Amino acid sequence: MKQHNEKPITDDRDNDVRRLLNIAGRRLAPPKDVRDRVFENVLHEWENQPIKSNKTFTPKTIQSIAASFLLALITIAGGWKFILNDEEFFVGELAFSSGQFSILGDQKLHDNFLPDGAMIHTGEDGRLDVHVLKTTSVRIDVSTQISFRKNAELWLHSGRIYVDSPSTNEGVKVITPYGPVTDIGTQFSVDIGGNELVVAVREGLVNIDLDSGKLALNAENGRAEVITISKEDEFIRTQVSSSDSRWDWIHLAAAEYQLENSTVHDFLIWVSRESGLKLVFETNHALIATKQARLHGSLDGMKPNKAIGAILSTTRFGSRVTEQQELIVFIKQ
Amino acid sequence: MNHSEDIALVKRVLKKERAAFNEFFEIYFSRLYRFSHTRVSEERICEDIVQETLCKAIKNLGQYRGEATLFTWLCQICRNEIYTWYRKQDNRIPVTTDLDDDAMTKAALESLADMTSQSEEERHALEKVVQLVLDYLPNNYGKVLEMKYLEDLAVQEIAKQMEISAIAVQSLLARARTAFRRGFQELYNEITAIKG
Repeated sequence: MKQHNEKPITDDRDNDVRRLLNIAGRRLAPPKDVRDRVFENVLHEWENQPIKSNKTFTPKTIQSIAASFLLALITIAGGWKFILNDEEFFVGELAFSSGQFSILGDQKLHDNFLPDGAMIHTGEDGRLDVHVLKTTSVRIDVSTQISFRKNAELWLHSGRIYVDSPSTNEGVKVITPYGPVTDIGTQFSVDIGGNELVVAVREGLVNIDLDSGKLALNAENGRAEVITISKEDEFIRTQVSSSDSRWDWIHLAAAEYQLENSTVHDFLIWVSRESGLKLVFETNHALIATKQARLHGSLDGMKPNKAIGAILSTTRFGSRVTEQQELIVFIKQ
Repeated sequence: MNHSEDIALVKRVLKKERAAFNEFFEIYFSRLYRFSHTRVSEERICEDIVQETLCKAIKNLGQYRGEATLFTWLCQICRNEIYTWYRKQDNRIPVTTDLDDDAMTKAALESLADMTSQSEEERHALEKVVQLVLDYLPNNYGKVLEMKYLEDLAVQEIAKQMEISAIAVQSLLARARTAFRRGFQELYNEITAIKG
């Protein structure tokens, strides 16, 4: 309730805050029934938690705890795997599979999660998509043998993989008989076939550590860089388009994009990453509008380069691809 | 920076003080719900994500060390939950960006320079930015600003509702305004730097 006889506590200097808050209005309040349900469930979780402390341990107490823990592990050997949490024990999650594949040795999938050291072998028609870290996708082509180990190490023994790690906070190391290939936030493929290693960088930067020295591959302005290395460490560099057909197989190694209820913006991100195109919005208005428009239906097996035209034709948005492999999105007049 | 108030609250929750649990829930539930709602539109999914976030937070509260605010820590868990949900759905990379790294936010801030020419979409984006900045402010700051500037309540009335003195309200308002402006200004500076 407003009291008009009160002496103002602020002057014109708070008009900016007042104005912005009035533009924005009140923040969304969660529905009461939702609040009550969540409260009950979280309270139940809290009540079942033992009393704990978040005090900082000293090195001495840590040593003491570690010793006790080790003793306990030895005592209950056999059940130790279940003490470790998922993040420590599992190194990847199988997100998609088609055709035949097998996991060699004693290792098994645990609800689609891969244990540390799992070696996968894809058959002549087998393709997989394995997610590692938080956002990295590893597509595995047919007739490939690869091991997944902790610290995002992928040991590629034979065959071909494609790595898409969109976050610059993440990187994987692909260990090959020729040397390790490392990246941070990029898209690249590694192919071991015959007597050579082929690394193709579609976006970003990749380092290769050979016995004879380090090599850096860089993709920019729609030009992907490909390097072919022989067993004698001799190499040839070439450039191809970032939408080159050498990556066409990756669409077969991932689940179909779920169009239903997706925003146009999310759809465009998917198209651009799968096609090796850089997504550019002609205006901020176009950017915002794509985030607010939702799509319905399904792609029915359409590949990204076909889907972009077919789907956008049903919307008020248009697109074109430049020589620099930029996917320009605009609002149709 | 050590966030002593957050650490103190966490300690009390860990010691099983029911009042502290209630306080923890009331402070963060709505904020996390809005945080989730800006990334996942379906209410039912938001409910699941926020519930899972809070349950995981409760389980791991002992690991909170106060290096970031408690809300930032909770948002990180929430982001992971959102990512997991998206991944279970269709393998898509979710568009989960930080407040200061969101192109839509940037577009809205750019439009601040010319308020009269805002389109509906830009205005909507601006609303979202202001509301998110409010959520990122320390506890009570957003609440007191809304009481003052949206509900138009007098200081005495705010003091009564918040059960603090009028002087404390004035002080809180001053700090809240400064924090709000700073949050907004940091983003605005970033935009003007980008625009050159």
